[in-house]
Amino acid sequence: MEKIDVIIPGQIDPDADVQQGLGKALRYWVTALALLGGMVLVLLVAMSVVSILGRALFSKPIQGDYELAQMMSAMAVSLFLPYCHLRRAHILVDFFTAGASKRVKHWLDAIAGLLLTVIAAVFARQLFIGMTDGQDSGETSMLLGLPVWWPYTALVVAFGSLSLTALYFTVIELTRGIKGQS
Amino acid sequence: MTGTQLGLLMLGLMLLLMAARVHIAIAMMVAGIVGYATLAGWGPLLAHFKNSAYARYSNYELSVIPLYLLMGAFAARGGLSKSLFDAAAKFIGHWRGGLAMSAIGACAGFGAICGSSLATAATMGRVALPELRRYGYSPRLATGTLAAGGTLGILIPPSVALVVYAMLSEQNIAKLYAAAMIPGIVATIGYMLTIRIVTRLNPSAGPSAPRASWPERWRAVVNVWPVASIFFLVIGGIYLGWFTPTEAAAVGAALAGVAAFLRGGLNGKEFVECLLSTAESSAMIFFILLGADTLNSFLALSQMPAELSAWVRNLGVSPFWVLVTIIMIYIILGCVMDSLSMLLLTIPILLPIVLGLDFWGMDETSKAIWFGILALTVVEIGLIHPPVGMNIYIINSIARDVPLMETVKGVLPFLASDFVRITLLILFPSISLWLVKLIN
Repeated sequence: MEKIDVIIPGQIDPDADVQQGLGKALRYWVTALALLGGMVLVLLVAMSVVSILGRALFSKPIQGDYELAQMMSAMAVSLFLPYCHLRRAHILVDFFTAGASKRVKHWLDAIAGLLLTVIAAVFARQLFIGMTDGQDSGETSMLLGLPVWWPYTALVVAFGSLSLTALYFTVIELTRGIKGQS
Repeated sequence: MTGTQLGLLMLGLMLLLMAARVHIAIAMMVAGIVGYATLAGWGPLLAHFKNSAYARYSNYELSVIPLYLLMGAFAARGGLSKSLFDAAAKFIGHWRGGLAMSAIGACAGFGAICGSSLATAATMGRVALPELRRYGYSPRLATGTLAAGGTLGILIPPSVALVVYAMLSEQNIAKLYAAAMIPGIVATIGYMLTIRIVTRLNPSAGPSAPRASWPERWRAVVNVWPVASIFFLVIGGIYLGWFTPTEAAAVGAALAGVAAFLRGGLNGKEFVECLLSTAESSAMIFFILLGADTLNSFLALSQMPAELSAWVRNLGVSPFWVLVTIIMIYIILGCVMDSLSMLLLTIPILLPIVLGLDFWGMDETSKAIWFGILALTVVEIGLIHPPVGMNIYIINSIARDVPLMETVKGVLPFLASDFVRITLLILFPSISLWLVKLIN
């Protein structure tokens, strides 16, 4: 089936800035993370099906499937975050700035991008500390005894990559804002 | 400064940032961060950030969301939407406006295996628009029908928005699904009646298609079995106690994937596309969830929702007018914001107000369920009215030759039907609550 791209007035082409050099490398990395998250999600589907069949046919579900589902979905959705920004798909309100000049929009987007860069970096740093806290305390999950810091590694990488992606687009918007080009 | 004043100030800051093109999630986070740090200091805030993202994202109830989206992505590739439309068209396509009604019916059917309004509009638009145009339907009616029909996806279970509401209001998702079922059917019938009225006033807008024979009809019905069985397992399985909602969503995703593969709609490349579109739409939702989480941690600390609720209760205004005001707020917000952001932003503040007032002597759970269905119905309207009605843009990007204004005009009769339905839901809470009581 053909793919449709929804054209919304004033929206930018998400692929234009990631075709070469650094942008291309970023696109490969972030897409790889999203596909990894997708595979985790598919694994979650497979695990649930096997667990249900096991429970129904042999009254033997997968031990700790509930715990695993929580870990897997947390990893999957956070690994999706940078890809969504790469596609410029995180939601914003463009109603009030619809009539603004392109230059003003570039400046506003640069400021927004900077906020995203900083906040994602803070999250990555705090999650990293949360992860090392977990390593030190040796806390494990209730049924399976898995170290609780394991899934944190995915979140740290995801938020770090989100920050980098945001930084990349911030620099692009800033250059365009300064040069005044469209 | 009191907590409530700080809360209002931060909400103002957040709206200002949103107006200036800051991502909705980030605007919520900035307001939450500044407010939280002012009340409790930076130390506790940074400590909160060590776990908040994992705590939010590992929520078992929320894990159904990416699974629903994956299921929807698979279902869209498997031609399931086409078989739904064909089956409906074989039965009622020969009525005046019958093909448009079939499209509404198919939207409702697709909404039953897809948790998202936008995906329903996009998928059904691609299938039904060319058919409607082929039989000479007016572009206005055709595009208006599909844009409106897409909103059925948000109400008819499974629904991403209801899962989010269940989390915010701490209500049981199975009860909310039961509550949404009849309002969803009422919406479907309302839209069909709208088409009936439109085509009565202007018969050339929706000419009838040739009548199908009974063998043709049965063949078309048989083709719908994957949709029927997925819906039965995903929703029915929850009530029969077979699965948790997350397991049910996983089974649904697996079945939709198998169905798409068997129908030749899912090779390697398309599988990757499904994963990536799931990634994009899941992340969109979960980023706002994290933003709302940060904002709500601050709001809870500020006591603002509780104080605001007490203030409204002491005003002595009749609950009915408070409710009307809330609905007006939703309609205004719907002009600039998407439905999920609206729910996440307003429910923590507005639900305590509603729960603090008396509506026909309902108990707390009933009020929360009834208000949830009402809020969902109202926010979905934002999808089909300008300026940010996403469904309008989606349909318009499929039917490129139809001017945007035609689609907007085509949606108006359906908006009227929505307002009638909202009035009914307010006046007769049993439309939402009857089935909930029945399954208890």
